[in-house]
Amino acid sequence: MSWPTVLDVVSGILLLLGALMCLAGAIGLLRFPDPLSRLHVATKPQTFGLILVLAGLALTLRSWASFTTLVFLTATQFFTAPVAAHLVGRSAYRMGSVRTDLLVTDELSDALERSGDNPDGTQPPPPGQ
Amino acid sequence: MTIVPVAGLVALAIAAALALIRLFRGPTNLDRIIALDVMLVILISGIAMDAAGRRTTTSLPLLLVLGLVSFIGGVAITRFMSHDSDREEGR
Repeated sequence: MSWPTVLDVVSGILLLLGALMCLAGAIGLLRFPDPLSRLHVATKPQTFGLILVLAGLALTLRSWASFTTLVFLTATQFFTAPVAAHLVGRSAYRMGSVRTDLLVTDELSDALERSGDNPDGTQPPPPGQ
Repeated sequence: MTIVPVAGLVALAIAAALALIRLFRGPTNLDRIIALDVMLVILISGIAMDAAGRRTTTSLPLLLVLGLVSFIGGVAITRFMSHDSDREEGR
């Protein structure tokens, strides 16, 4: 078995696995009950599937120029996906569309209650007035 | 090796259809934003799959632009969508 054939087989496996990861993420997006769990399934399997597809593409193209481009794309996905997910989760919490009966722990609500702050960012009226 | 990109594209098409259903149904606008993000990742994967099938590097800049635009678009929509804009409509 020659070397390009091995690379072709490996890249084919990576491409198929990545596509199946994306499919699994989309199924979870449809099946999961509330925005936080959908966020969970929209960030982790999707990013992993995208990385697998890009690795398969890099093994197919086999040139340094395309390899560096794909590494840069993967790095931007690594850094931007958590930021976007964090913003959506923060917005979901503030808009009250988090189903608290599905949460195992809710440390943010406890911390906000302890500090006497409201979830929507407004200060409570000072005591004694 | 042409069957692998075709099979991958079929799986990605099914995934895109499921994300579209969530985009249509999504009870809040946040679900729609998440579904749109997933749609763009599926689109990037599809273009990468097509590039792997044809063994061409022409669409690599397109992948970069789509990745950055999906981030900026998602963050901008999330920031603009201030408090309860979808609850006041009674959904």
